[in-house]
Amino acid sequence: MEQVKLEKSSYLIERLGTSQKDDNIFECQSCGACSSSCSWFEGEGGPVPRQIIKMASLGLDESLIKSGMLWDCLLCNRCTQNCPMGITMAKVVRKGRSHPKAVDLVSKDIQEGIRSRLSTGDVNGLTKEDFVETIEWMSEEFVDEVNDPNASIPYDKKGAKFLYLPNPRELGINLMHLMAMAKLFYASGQPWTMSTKHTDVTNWGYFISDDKIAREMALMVIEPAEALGIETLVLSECGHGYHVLKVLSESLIGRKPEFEIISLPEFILRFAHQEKIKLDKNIHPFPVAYHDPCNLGRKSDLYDSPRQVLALCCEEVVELIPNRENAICCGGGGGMLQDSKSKAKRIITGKAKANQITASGVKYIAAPCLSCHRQLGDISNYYNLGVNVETIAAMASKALILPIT
Amino acid sequence: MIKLSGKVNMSCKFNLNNKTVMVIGGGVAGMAAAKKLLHNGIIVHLIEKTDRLGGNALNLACMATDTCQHCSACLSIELADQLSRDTHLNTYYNADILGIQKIKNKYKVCLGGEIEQDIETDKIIVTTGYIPARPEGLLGQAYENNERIITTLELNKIFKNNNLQNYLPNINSPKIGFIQCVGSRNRELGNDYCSQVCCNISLRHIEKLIHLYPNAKISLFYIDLQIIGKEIRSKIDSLSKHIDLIQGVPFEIHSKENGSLSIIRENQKTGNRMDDQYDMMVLSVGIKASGSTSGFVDVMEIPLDKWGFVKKRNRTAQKDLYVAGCASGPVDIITAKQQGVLCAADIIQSFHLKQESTNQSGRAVAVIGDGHHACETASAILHNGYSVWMFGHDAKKEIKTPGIHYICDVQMISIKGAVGTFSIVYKEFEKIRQKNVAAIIVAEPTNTVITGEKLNLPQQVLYPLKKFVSCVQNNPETIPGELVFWLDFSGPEYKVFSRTALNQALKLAKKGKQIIFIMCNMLVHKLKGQHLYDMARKQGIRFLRIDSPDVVNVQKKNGKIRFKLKEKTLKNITVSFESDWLIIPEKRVPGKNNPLIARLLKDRLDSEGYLQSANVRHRMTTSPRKGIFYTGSCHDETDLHDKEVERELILSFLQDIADTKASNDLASVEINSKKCKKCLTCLRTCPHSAIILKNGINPFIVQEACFSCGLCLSLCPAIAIESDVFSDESYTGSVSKNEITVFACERSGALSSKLIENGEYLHIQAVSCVCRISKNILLKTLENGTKRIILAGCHNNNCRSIKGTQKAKVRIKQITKLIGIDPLSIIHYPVAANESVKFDAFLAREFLAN
Repeated sequence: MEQVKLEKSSYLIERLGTSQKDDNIFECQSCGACSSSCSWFEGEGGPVPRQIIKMASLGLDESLIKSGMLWDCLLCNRCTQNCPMGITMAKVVRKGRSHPKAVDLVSKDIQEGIRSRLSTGDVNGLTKEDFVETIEWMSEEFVDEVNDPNASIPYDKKGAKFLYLPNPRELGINLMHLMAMAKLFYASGQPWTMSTKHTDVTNWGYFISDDKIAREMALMVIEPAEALGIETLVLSECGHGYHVLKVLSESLIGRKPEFEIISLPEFILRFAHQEKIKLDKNIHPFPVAYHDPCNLGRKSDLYDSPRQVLALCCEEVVELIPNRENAICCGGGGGMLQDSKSKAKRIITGKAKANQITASGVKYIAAPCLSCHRQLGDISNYYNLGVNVETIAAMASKALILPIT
Repeated sequence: MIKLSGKVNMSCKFNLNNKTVMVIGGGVAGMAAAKKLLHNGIIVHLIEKTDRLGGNALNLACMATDTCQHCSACLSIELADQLSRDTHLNTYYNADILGIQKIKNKYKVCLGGEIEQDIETDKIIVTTGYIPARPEGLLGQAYENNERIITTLELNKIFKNNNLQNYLPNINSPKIGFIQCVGSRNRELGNDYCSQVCCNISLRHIEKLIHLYPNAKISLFYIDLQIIGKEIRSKIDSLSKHIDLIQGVPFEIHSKENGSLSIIRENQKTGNRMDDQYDMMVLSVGIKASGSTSGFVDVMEIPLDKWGFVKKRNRTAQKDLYVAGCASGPVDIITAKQQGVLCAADIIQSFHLKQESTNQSGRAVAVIGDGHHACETASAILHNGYSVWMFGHDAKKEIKTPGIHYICDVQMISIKGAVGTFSIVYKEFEKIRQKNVAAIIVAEPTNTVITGEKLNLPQQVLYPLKKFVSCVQNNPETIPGELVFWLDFSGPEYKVFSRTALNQALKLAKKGKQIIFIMCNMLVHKLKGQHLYDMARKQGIRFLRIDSPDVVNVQKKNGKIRFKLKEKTLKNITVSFESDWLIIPEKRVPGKNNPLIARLLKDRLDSEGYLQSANVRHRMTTSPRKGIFYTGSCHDETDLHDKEVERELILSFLQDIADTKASNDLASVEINSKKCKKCLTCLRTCPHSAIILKNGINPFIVQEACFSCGLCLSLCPAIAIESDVFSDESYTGSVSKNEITVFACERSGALSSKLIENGEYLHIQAVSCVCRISKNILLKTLENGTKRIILAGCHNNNCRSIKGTQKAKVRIKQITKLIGIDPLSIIHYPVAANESVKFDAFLAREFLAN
């Protein structure tokens, strides 16, 4: 049994014991509600939420770091959904990850991604030249795709109302996805653009909870976007990217960005309501389950617009049980998916989701987050669920009825 | 005496004074208040929003196993029965209050609903009760979607309907989980208070379940067990051997495909999460401020606290407006009853109805006990115009209240007589002396024992709580920088000590002291208890939870105390820390005089050795012997407020004794001195000690002390005790030719059987107590043609006459041994007023068997 000295003060006590709300760990009364709703469920290993709080509040920082619970945590906030004292676990765990003695715990992949993003502006190291070349090539293809000689995928276009901030994967391994997104913008008829300085919606500074880095990454998005003079920044389907830019950016950069931030499903819904984007349900003549990404749902309060978009492009939206505030995490959150060595753990953390999908009986599932998308695919393969995983925007794009030109 | 059929009249001097009180709410508190007011000739308007009296408690099940669990729900039925038949009570059913106006010194209340009427009243008592909280939406959709997830109240209903087997079919050893504090102690939901009654309620339900399913596997999930009050320590101690007590409440329940319910919880041993499956989950959802309180309060503009309970000060919310029961915060049934009585007593006093009694001996009161509380009690009695004799006071103590007669250093020999005429016989300076008093109040202190010797710490660093508090007051500069408070050191902590420790710690933490608590459970009693605990944590006081005191290792090292302990919520970690002082509250043990006092008073000790049995028919302060009262820690766990309330309650009873006219339910039992053979059987056996000797030889029944149980009538070998109300003939006469005759106690069996159809094959006869049914009545009933006799008396420990049920059982045993009597022809069936369904089913079975 480990023997530790209880400390009066520690890195975590100083940073977590002070505020009146959200992350005041001293408020914990050890009721244990959190431990009963951890996304790891009965899975072997993994975090025990109230032990994290207890260790932090007793100044047992090093025991907490040693326990491995900080990086096993999915930051899904499911446990603290019901916290009677309103303590937010994601805040506590992230603070723990930022402990100077915890830096070694950050996975190689995340370290490298952050280095690359800070030096090149893109987590995958995509250069400006690569970007321009890719977009111009795609723009030519796009003309054929929409059968409109005037169509294009614009970039760095001053005066555009909407700026699309893609996921780096859309500029690398999944170009067709970008094409699909471009179709939606095209169909909306709105002046939009992409940008050489906006190739990456992610913000891995969030995972390691380094506010300096997270701030820098947020500014890399916000300042050039303001320089372009856009009205609305449309984010690719990315959970943590949305959470950081939509919810946290104001406190990170100390002011409100000068433009509106929405996610792609919100964009689609807005113009579907105006009947500019027309969607055909019959393209997907089957029921599709909706998965609530933790970062969009619980952590950013976005539940309805992705569902509404999905309802417009398939036969029926199936609710997984539980859902919304109580939704089960895909099992890949909190930076786990960004760590290539996490596969074995993700099989455990994804089991509850797999069971939930099996219980629903659906063969199609959609989630507006590319991390969830990938993890859902992985668990479908591992547990032989045989479900097709899509993102909301991809489904909308498929269901899109293009204006006849 | 209350007869079970027809009208009753509790008011003996009705409308003497033309004073009017309106009671709003016909629950336990409201009924208790109305009853006392009626007794004192006050006009009472009882406003009830439903179509019946009784409140929430009326629907509750009996919790008795093979013995009463002291839930006191049956009291509500008894009160409702009495009041609904009272001819002088003005009851308004299905009534709403539309408006209230204050006109001069009166309220004008505008009633709506079934009866539209304006009523003028001098005073109002608000007893609008509570609403049970609901679990909808608290555990996702789990409660709504699974019928095996129920609330404690729903389990209670299942007990009442006697149909648990429908919910647990084919399961011999069901696994059942009880989850405490669902939605309670929850600041995010705005319920940051403890409902105070639920731990005890769940424990009773668990006892009952184990009684019904001896193989049941039961887990109780809790945050902090609120082990407060009479006999709960021993209950939790014995229960903990049969059930799993698990700290930590699950907030999510999953329905599995195999039909079972699953929760994720921490494995007690390994600290990891595990999947735990159950057949049934019972949610404890607590008590909420009554919606109708709020609606009514809008009209009244009564101040409410943030949870919607009525704010009160000394039982009033504003002038001439009193509050009792759950309207002002969660309380249990006997507390609600007591609060109702006290409001009524306050009002009676404010009307100045009482005349000074001319009977001086009727105003002499003895207080037995030493210590602060006994002295305070004696002073309070003195100030109310009684002459006070204090027994047991330490002669060496300098401080004495002028006017109180102190009888110190004497040996008490016996307490004879009955209410109004007690005589205390004692030995002083080798002489036998005697003091006559009207009433006796026992206010003995408990013994407090200093604990912690086994830790081998010098006394400069180990402080009993009391010593520490006086140190904080007198020498605050000596308090060092680091302090440890250790609660639950020798068993569950007492609420007074827990609260004192927390208050002291809060004060000292604000001055920068480093404070750590070691505890098994934190007590958060009273509405503000949770708030205090929340403040303490916010202030940086740290709370370490342990399984038992054995997991703590304490050593003295370099002038500091070094602690090493296994924190309950951490896995595989022993934490160590240092402190300057260790403060441990004293342990309480029953006073060494308790057995002697109990013997002198002819009353029983409770199972833990404290005075007064746990029987709810006599608690809070009274006893089976009228005129004998208990107060303070000698009989129950009390804090300063409780003690004050008990004093006031006793004062109101003393007033009733002095003013004997107020009591009209006098017995009508007399000893016919011509027939009496002076065998003194009656005197020896009277459970209420209401029979005394007159002139040293003649037994005499003191009417004021008699509870009319009728035991003496049934036992007198000379048949010398007579009563026109319950003579043998009044029972045997009406029971001829029925296949089954049931003699049912008027407080239990008869009340529960009111719903049962009386056929010609079945006759139910209400009796004052089943002990009244003598061998003679039994034999005559059989002779008259009844094939089967059932004595439906109270459950063990629920009998108002304490031994009535046992006496009846013994009698049955004796009589069924007689030749020619079928051993199965007479049986005893214990039943409570709220066990209609069970009793009905039993009678149906009996009937079919015949």
